[in-house]
Amino acid sequence: MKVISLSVKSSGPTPCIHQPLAIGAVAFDTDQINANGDEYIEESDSYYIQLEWDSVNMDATTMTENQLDIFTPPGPDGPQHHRSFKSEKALEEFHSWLLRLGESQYYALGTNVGFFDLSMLKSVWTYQWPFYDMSIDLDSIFTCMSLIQNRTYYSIRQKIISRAWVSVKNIYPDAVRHNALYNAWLNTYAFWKCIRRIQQAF
Amino acid sequence: MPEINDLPILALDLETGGLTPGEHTPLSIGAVWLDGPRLPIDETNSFYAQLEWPVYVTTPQAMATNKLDLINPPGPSGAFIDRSYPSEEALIRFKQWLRDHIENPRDGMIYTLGFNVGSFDLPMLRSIWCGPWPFHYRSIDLNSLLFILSRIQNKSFDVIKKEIVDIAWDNLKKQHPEFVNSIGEPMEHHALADAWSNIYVYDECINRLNARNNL
Repeated sequence: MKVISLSVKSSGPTPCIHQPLAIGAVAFDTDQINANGDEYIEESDSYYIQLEWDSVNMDATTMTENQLDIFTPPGPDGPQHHRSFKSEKALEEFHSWLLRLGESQYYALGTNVGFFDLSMLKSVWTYQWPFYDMSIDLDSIFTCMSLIQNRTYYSIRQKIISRAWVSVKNIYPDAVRHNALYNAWLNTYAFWKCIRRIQQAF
Repeated sequence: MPEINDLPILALDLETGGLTPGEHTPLSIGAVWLDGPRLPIDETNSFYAQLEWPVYVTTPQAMATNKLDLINPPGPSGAFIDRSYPSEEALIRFKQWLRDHIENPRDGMIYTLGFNVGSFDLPMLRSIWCGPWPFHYRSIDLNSLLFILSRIQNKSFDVIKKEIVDIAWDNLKKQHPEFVNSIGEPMEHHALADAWSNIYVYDECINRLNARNNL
């Protein structure tokens, strides 16, 4: 299965009212996941862009959480995790990156990705929709693990996310939690750890 | 902080006039408590209502799938699984039914369960909902559980999904013959039948995971 771990940072919680402000994505194939944990993804299989809008409808709580600077955006010349384009150009760039990956549709992966990230992206997307209706929801996987292992959801989630974050920091020592790209990496590693943990447990 | 194990879980399914919340019209609501009694199907475990609207926005594909009669809706006096109410009354009934089944209702405390329930059914329901939102922002997506099972059992997702959904519908047909149509087929795309089917899909997923866990 071709999967894209997707994280969208927005100006608020509601698609069509608030705007997507940054897109982070990591593409991989589920066949890549192995028991040794030595999966490797090329940097070209990950993507990040901040979107510059002419006007933004902001929710204060959300803006505090995402810590994006929308007044002096970084522009197109920054490093991969810190660059921005005008919104239309940013979406065009993201679309081109998806096309270069070679598939017409992908399964989105994330926490509440179907409810939030896909809805937010869809609210501004003008190209052929690149995601299947079905997505892989990490929260559902944590819930499932907590029910069958008779442990709390939060203990399962905390353990896996904290270990996944160590993996992200090993590769990107400067990674910060609120960034959409590193969130997408975090979810990718968390998903791989879930799969390995479940396969080992069973 | 409440844990999922302490929160009520509701299998939820909506039939709609199309795929876009806020544009297409929600047409029927089916809901079943996971921990409720399994027999018989009535208010103790289930909710069903077809919604009557003055105006509908639908697509031909959606109407061919759900086969609901919008022109001559069944009205409030039909069988439990074949009733319709004016939309506002249907939603009031649904809210009351939810309250009746929760000891200390709070906003956001009900976990929903279903296929793409977080990305489809909840946004569709929210598009017509007024007042406090009783559903948790997290949900249990059956596709994600099936994906995990496909990895454990080393089968393709499509094979696992068909296997488990077939078992769920077989169970539904045996346990609840009211969901079998005149030619002996289960009533797929009936909101309550689908919600019940989701209960049996979830049961089968958890049984398989627990069985493997005990090896």
